[in-house]
Amino acid sequence: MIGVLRVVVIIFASIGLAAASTPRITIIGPGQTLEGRFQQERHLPGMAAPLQSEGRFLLSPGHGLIWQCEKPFTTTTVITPAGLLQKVDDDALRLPTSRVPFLRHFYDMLSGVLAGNWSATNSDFKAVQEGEAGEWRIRLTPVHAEDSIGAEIESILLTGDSFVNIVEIHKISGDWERLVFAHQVISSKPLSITDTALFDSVGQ
Amino acid sequence: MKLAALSWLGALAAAGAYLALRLWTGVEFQTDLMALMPQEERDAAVQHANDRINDVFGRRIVLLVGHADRTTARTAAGILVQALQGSGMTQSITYRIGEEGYRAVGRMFFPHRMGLLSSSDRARLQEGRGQEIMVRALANIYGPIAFGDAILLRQDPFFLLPTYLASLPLPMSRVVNDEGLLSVSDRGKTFVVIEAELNSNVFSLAAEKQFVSIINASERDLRASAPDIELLRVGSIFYAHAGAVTAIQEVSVIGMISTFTIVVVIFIVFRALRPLWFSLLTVSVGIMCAFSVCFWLYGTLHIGALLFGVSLIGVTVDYSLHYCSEGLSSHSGDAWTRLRRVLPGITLGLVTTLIGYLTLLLAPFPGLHELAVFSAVGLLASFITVVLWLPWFDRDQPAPHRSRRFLLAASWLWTFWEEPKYQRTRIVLVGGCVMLAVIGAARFKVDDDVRRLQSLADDLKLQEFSIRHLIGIGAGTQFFLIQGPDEEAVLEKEEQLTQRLESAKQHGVLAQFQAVSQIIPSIARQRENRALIQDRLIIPFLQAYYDQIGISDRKVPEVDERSFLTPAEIPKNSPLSFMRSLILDNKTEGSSHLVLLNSVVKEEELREIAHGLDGVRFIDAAGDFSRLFGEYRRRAVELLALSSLTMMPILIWRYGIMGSLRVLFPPAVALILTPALVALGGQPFTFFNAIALVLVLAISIDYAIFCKEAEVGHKSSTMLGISLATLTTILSFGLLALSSVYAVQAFGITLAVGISLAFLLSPLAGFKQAQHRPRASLLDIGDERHSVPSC
Repeated sequence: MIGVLRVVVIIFASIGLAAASTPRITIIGPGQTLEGRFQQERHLPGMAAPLQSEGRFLLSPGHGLIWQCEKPFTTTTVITPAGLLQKVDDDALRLPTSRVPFLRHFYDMLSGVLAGNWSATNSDFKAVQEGEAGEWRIRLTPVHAEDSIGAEIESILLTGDSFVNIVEIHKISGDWERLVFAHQVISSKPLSITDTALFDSVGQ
Repeated sequence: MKLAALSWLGALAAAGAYLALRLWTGVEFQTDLMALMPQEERDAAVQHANDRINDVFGRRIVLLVGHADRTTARTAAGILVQALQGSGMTQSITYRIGEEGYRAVGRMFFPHRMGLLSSSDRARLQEGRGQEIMVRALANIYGPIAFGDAILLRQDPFFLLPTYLASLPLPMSRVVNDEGLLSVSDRGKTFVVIEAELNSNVFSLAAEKQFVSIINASERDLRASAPDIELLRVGSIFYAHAGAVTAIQEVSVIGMISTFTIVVVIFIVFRALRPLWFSLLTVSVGIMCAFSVCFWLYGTLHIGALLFGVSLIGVTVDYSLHYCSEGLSSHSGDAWTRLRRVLPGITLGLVTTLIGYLTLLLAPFPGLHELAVFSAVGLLASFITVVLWLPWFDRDQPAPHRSRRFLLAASWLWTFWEEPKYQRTRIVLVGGCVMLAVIGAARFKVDDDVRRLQSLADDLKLQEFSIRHLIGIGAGTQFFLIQGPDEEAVLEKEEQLTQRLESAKQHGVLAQFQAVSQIIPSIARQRENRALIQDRLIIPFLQAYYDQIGISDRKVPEVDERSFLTPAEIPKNSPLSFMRSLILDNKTEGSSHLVLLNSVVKEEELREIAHGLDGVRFIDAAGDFSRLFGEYRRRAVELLALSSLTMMPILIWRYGIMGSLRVLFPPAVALILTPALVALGGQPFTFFNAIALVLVLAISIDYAIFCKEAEVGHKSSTMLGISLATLTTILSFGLLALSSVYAVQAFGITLAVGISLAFLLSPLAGFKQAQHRPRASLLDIGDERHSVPSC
């Protein structure tokens, strides 16, 4: 279940820290959405090749996150304040917030960060900026080694310009993965009917 | 006589000293309804389960501290928890569930993961749809939220354990573990959930008061720093406290009003202080003795028995009133003569009433026992005081006064029943009464529902409703009890039951249920699961799965084949610790579990569900209390009839068969008509009406006996005594009809109606003599001008 945290951490951390470090980063305002493509590579020890997947994501303050994997399988994952939903074909796995400790806390942080207030993240991560202001790199390390984040994550490396472009997550267990974001667009268009339905279906 | 009076003083001094000692060391009044449960004919296992339910769920409280600001709510919860801990009245407080609790759950399940399947995964494997599980696992691995890492992938390749964990039923569905604190958000507010188990000795009035005042004080303190803070509470202790407090407050206010009025009435009628303090003396002696004997016998007193008992010995004031009224009569004579004249009446009154109360001892109901002993002792002590003491205090020459008009007024009732000119009025009145009673009888209905009878404070109900809305749990009074020779048998049976419950849930019979077997499958089921996983998942799909994700070493996960998960392993202080309370510790042989049912909608269908499952029983704690009240009500009515019968021999000895029937006639009519007349107002007949009827019988038999005993020339004074007795009774207990506590109100209304009827009908008991001397009563009044009242 820590995985749930991870994805949220990535998202808020990317945007939040980017916003804090670089004035050029775009903050998502109320009613806006951030949409784009992702490519994910997961490196697990003992495996011949990394597990690769790609698809589309959508982040909407107040609603949550939609993560649609298109290759090699079609799966949809939705995270909202109510919980988490993972759909594979017609099969849906639901995890209400009550099952995932800290999800709400992270969701609150995410919302805060999206609104430009990222002080909430200070308690969990220490950030060190490594690059230039135009093409920046930030390394995040957990503050508390013993809590759920610290027990899981060694460090997170973010690279970006006006958006976060690459996220690398290194885990204590030796797993690591890389996420590459592309075609990121901030829009003020209302959510599509499909996306609204996805967000709504989480709490059901 | 002097010696006897002095010995009585000695006895009272002893009783008084004992009572003072008890009050000094601190007296506890019981308020726990459970204490009223009959001790007989209950299945030991059901009894044990009920005790256990009461123990666990009756002592459980839930507090929700809410505020728009999360930090404020969390700080406030911390302060409240400190207050709870500081009270020393809690056994455990569930408030902070740290990471460790979750890890403990993980540690418990992990070694047994190959025997655990969520119900949907189990169905998939049974139906040969293992492929779906593989696809799901692949999607998970490639998806953004992998359940685990490379290590877990080797140990639980299809992520069955995370799926199992996600499928576990949680008691509080909306509650989130927010950084270690159980919380729920609603309408922009954060509520922190605090659950506590109280000590076992909290169900006494003093402890309840102390506990509730601690909570209230903390609430005030919290409000002082954060005015918008919201504190919601639910738990039997709050209801018990509210019920007892309202009842006691109302009874004391009504008691004050009625005492004052009674004092005024006595003073107006007798124009002297002596009858007043005579009455006070007899009543207080009665109450004092009743208390000391009850404390001596039972060590404590139930608040219900106390309230009704105090009412019942209110009858004792009648003895002194009769004695004093006799002093107003024309040939009153000296104090001893007056006593001799009222003695047969009050003695018979006492004996019959005592018989009535002693029959209450025949029923195996602790509540009725206490009530009977309390009232009987009180009556007896008052009686002895009247007989032994009053004449000693009453030796002065009575002061002359003009109470003639009261005597005249009182004797009018005799006249009404005797004079031929009132014949038509009598017929109309009696006919009217009977007609009303018939209409009432048609509307007569019985209601024992405890939820109606309890005075549930509206404010608390509202809070309970909010809590149910917020965290999805209610009072929890309905269960299945599952018994078996050992825990494995119980779990297997439970699995059969939960399968039925699951489908009942789909059909809206109930909202949710919690059973141990939902978390810890039986060993048989764990074996089955292992086989299913091995034969239908690992063997057909593991290779292909590993190939797909590129794992080269192809190791099959290993588990200990001999070890199985058992309920004893559920860790304390974890999100699952609640489940431990569903396992009953076994005093007898075998094993038993409870299945907790939430928000039952269709109770009848639920009862049906256990049909055919041996050793599974439906337990309904609220329903049991309702049945208890029903049982008490039925017993009270039966005993009423029985005590009427047991009074017969002594009445026959004194009055002969016809005479005794005549004496029983007014009480019998009052007893039959009262419930019907009360039903006219639409009020259902409950235990509290029945117990009021016991009092109506005790009092009305007294009235009838006094009338029967009334000698010529003393009828008006007898009737004055009865009138005053009626007036004081109605003033003291009839006023309870104004109470907002349902039980008290029902008691008061029944009493007011019953006593009025008994009073109106009482001359019929002495009617026969009157027929021989049609003008007796008038002569009696005529002589009154020479009377020298004495009291």
